[in-house]
Amino acid sequence: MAETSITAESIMEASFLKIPGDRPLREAVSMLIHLPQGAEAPLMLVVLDPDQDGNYLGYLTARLLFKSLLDQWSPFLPDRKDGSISEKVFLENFEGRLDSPVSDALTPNLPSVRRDVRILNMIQLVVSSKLEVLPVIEDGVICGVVTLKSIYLAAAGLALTSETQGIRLPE
Amino acid sequence: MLQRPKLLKPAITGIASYLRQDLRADTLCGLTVAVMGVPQAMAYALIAGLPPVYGLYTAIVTCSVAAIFGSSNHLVTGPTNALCMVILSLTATLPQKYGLDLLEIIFLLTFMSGFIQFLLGLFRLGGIVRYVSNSVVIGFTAGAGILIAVNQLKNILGIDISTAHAERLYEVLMATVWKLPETNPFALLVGVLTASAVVLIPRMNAKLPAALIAVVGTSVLSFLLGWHEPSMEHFRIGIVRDIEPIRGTLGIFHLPELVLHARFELVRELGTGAVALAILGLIEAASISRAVAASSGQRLDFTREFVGQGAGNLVGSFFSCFCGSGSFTRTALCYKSGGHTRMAAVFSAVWTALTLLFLAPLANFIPKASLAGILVIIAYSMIDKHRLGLTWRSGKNSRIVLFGTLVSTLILPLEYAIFAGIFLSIVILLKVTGQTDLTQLVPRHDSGFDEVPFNRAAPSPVVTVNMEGDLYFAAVEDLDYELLRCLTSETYVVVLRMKRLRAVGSTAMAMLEHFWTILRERHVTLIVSGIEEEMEEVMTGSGLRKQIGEQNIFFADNKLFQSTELALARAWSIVETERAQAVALSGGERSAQRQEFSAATVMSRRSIRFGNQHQLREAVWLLSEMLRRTRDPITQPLFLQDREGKLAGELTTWHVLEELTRDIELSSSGDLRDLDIGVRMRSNFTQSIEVIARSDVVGLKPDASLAELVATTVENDFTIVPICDPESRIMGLVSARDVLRGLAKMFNLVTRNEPHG
Repeated sequence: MAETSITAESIMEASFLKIPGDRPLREAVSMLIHLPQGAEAPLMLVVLDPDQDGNYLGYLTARLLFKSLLDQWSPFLPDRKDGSISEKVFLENFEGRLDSPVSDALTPNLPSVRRDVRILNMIQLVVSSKLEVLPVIEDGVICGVVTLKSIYLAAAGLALTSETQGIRLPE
Repeated sequence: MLQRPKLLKPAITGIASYLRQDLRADTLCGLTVAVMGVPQAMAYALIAGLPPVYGLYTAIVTCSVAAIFGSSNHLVTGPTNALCMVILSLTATLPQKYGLDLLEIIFLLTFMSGFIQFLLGLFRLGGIVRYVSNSVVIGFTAGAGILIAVNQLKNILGIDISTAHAERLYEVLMATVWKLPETNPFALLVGVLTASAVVLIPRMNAKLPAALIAVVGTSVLSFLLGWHEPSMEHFRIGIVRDIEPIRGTLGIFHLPELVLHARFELVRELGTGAVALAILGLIEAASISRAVAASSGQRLDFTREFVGQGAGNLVGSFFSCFCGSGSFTRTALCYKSGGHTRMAAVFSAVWTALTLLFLAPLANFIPKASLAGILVIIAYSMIDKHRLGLTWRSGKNSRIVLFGTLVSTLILPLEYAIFAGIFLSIVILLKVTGQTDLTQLVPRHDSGFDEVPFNRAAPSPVVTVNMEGDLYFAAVEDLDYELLRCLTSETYVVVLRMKRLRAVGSTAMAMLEHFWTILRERHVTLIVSGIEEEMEEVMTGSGLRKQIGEQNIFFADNKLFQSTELALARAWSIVETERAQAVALSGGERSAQRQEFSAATVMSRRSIRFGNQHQLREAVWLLSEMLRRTRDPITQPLFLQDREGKLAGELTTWHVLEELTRDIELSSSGDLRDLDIGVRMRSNFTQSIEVIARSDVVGLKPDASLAELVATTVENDFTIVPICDPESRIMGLVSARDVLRGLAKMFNLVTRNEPHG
């Protein structure tokens, strides 16, 4: 029997939240934090090209959203020298952005992978770029997402054996 | 143990092997089968209105050819009761109508049926028989049994009735009752004695050939007492010789005139019947051979079996045979008698031929009432009371099909009765599958969903409907209006979970489009979840995918309800957005509702703290266990604490992954198997986590503002920010999502209490 390798396709999730890039940011924020009681909120939101159905534009996580906003609001950056942070400016800027298109809040050129990419390549990508998500793209269309969690669990599954599990308590 | 069909190998080694291992068993088995089969074959010919000798011809030629070209090691082909009844029904009136010989008509019918069967086998269309349900077969067989029994009453009673339609139960019964006063007591005695012997002998010794003993016994009795002599006058009992003397010869080759010089109108008239005979014959052969193969372990080739049946009837039509099929009793006897190969059936034909050659003169004196007595008992056994009772109790649909077929058999021409049964079972199937089950899914407090009957869930802005079943044209009618019943004035969004739908076609797409249009007019959003590949293709092709919108379509995942949970996230975001817009339009409330948020108000108090003296191996394991047990997709780091419990560092999954793969060169890793990667990863297991972890982690105070939380998260690439007390002990954790949630509350993007993670 042929040995199978762990690839993006084998650990990706085919179901994910998505939103056209021309929708307002407030809608994207609302989607990122909502889930029925007892379940966890989704990690990321895929943004699609509104003019070309299904074509991938980028993705948002709460962390990436803040990073993108701060990159655009350089006057806001906290002045560490005097320890003050312009809370008022931050909130005003954030509120002002809520009606702008989601696509404006995307971080450009985030890495993505193909279905057949192996586990080591995925580890290298998430570690070097401090990513929580890797989109799986085929012909410009997103077909799944690989989370840092699933990459880690796959790697731990390879590394751990029955003898190497558990914690040794200090003497 | 599985066996494969033993082929007749021309090779010398194969023949020698057969002679050594199987010949004796097959020969003896064939004799056993012939002993039962001879009286049966003669009796079945009587059902068809033919001289008994033609039953023997069929048991010789059709049996041999079907065995040679077939697949089953134990199937014995020959005359069967149900087929003979159909033959009678089809051909009884034709000799008079066309001025032709009955036998020629039957040979033509046999040829046509064999041809159809042969073609079905050749083109691998035998699978058509799987669409004939068991209920149809049981009902038809029971009905045929009743007809056979009623039709044989005349022979048992020794009366002469002529009726044009032997399959019309009422007609035959009335004619029989009308002639009851003319009952021949000697014929009745012979018939009753035969039937009694057939019933009682197996109870004394199951191994005895009851039918043969009964026939021989009553034949000898009647012969010795001279009941067949003309001197008996009115009380003379009819014997086989009266129908047609059996000649002890095998000169049975006969070119069927009507095959060589076909008459179109006759062929057309027999066409439907030939198809019915062909299908019925294949059903019998398939079900009987399958039943025996289940015990013998033989793997059957049904295509080959159908070719064999077709070949048997085709060739048989040139050797004075009528249409035959697999016989259950002879097949079961062949298996139980230890037959090894298909040659067992061939040997039964040989023994039958020998019987014909050497015992023909004696066979001529068999009373018709004796054969009728056997037939009445066989007919009774065709009514499977156990299965009839089981079907009666098992459900309305099976009941309708079975008894509908049975009644059709008693009132319609038999060839139409089987089609009536097939039609009934298809209609029932369409009725059953032509329904889509609707239920509603209500999210549970902890996780998962409760499934409640449709339209019984409490009113909610988001209505989730689970659809199961077939969504082809028959099921779709009025489904859109049915779905509308679950809407209330509160409804903002409808989520349709479609993972369990099958057979989705264009009619279904039209219904969904109509439903989407109605919802749009009511300002309700439609979201669909659990979309499988087949559904995706149909939705894309029909244009519905574009209409619903990519953001409202969630494809099926291997995790149960994953796509539906995401669909609900989307649904509630729509609800909250619209509510927030309504609040904004009303004005004035927003500023009053803006709350002050800080780290303390958004933080989660759950954190995993880990001693900094452990090894990488332990950290890998603990993180793995943590992640497996939580549904949160965010990978929470391990926060290290020193012996005083103070924050000493942070170990993220990135740190761990980087350390695990430190010694693996990516450029040369393409040839590494996953197992080898695992081995390489373990080489750093003993590394102390204090060395690997990030030590410059500074926690924020509980009163840190949201802005400060955001800045700290971004500048330090944190996924989680620790919140610490003045002694640097962790009080709680804040993720970027927690901050976002706080901001959403602040700006009224949410209007209900959100659960903290």
